[in-house]
Amino acid sequence: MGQARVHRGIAFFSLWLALCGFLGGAATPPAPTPAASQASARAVIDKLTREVLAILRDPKLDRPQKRQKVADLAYEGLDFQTLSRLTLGQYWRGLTTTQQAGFVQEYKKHLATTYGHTTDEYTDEDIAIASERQETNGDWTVLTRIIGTKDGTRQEIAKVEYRLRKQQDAWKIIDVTIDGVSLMANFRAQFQEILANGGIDKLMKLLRDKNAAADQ
Amino acid sequence: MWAFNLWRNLILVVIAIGILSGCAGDPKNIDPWETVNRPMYDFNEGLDRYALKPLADGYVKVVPKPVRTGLGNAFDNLGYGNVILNDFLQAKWGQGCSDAGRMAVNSTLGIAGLFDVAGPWRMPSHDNDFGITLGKWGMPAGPYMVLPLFGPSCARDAPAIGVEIVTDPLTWVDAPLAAIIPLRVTQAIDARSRADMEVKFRNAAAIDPYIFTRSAYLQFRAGQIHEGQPPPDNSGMYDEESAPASAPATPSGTDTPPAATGTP
Repeated sequence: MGQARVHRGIAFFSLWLALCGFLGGAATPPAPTPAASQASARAVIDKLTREVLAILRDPKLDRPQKRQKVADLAYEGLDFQTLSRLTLGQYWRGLTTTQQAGFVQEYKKHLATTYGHTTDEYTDEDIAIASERQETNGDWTVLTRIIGTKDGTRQEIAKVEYRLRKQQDAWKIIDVTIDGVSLMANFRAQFQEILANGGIDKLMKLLRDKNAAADQ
Repeated sequence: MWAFNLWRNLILVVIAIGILSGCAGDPKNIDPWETVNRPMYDFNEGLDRYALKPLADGYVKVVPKPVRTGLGNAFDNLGYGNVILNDFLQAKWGQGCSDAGRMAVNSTLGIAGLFDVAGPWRMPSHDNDFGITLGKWGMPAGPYMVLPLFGPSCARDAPAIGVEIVTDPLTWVDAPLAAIIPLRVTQAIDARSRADMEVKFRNAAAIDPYIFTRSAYLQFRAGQIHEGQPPPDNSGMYDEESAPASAPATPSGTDTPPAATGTP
């Protein structure tokens, strides 16, 4: 049924977003290192996926340790400010700096809560980099494949694309698309419709309520 | 070849009329039927929470996993004629032959589809349906629709359910309703039990579950149709603060990759 197909897509959305690093924590992202300026977008993803897989496959780490280590990698690889700005689009400029900071904080927390436990689902998957392409505005999109065991054979089980943007000599991830579903586009659709009908206060209330409910 | 084109064009015209009659005015609005869709979505969620999910949970608790796997395989196998048909409609000859082989092997050696014998024999399962076929033939998604029970769909994909029904052998079996209905209900419960992780995830991730589902559905379908070769993105979604500060009253095409919004 159609719903099963969508849900399969959403399932991969959850698992592989963890691998791309949409996890949160209390730490602020570290400053980009000078060596990163030489790395191409593809090299950044290559390094990130290999490091994440190494963590997930390490038998000496327990689940909370794996979650935390992957979260640290996420903070290094992800440009959360740009993600927030792009998600709100034309509404971003209409917010005060306090509202912007408040939004970034709640959004970050929400993503951390939602995707934080997905590293627990890892079994024996592999990630292969397929190709890369440049977008018209200068971003680069790196296409990867998740290889796993399905129907008794080893085959591709999902396509994951990372969109990266160069920020101060370092390539950072600004969106992840799994089997065609973009994280940024999905939240953008939700948030922009909420903003159009209820304004920033409505959006902030919904985010805060969601985060509070998750805390319990 | 000309006959194929004639049929394709006829089908496109008929469905285009259906789509255009639903598109009221604004080509950027990908959910013109939102006022009808939202209540239907809530109805489906209620049905899920009070009927389908409890039944699915009970099913998981009571029925041993090997039996559930077998039933799931059998149901998937029944629906596989639809995949094969659409493989060929999309000129995917290799995949079509592999899928035909899969269904043949599983139906026989796999005992009416209960066992997935074909999978380890390099005939893996694929997803395909008439909505993807129409999409590959150039038809846009049309207005988003939420169908009772079936959930998210669109003007292009809804008729594909008819194709699913027609290609399902169970539709043509001459058996009393007293036998068919429990089978169909079990099929629904089985599908729901297999989707439980995804539904839980959606409930946790979504701030507005209706929009989350709509956005994920439309993007996922576009992804299935374009298969990793998306059309160029000119939505401006990735450009910094490109649009004016004033807020539009209706949702603009942010749910789908650009080529899927409002193209004729």
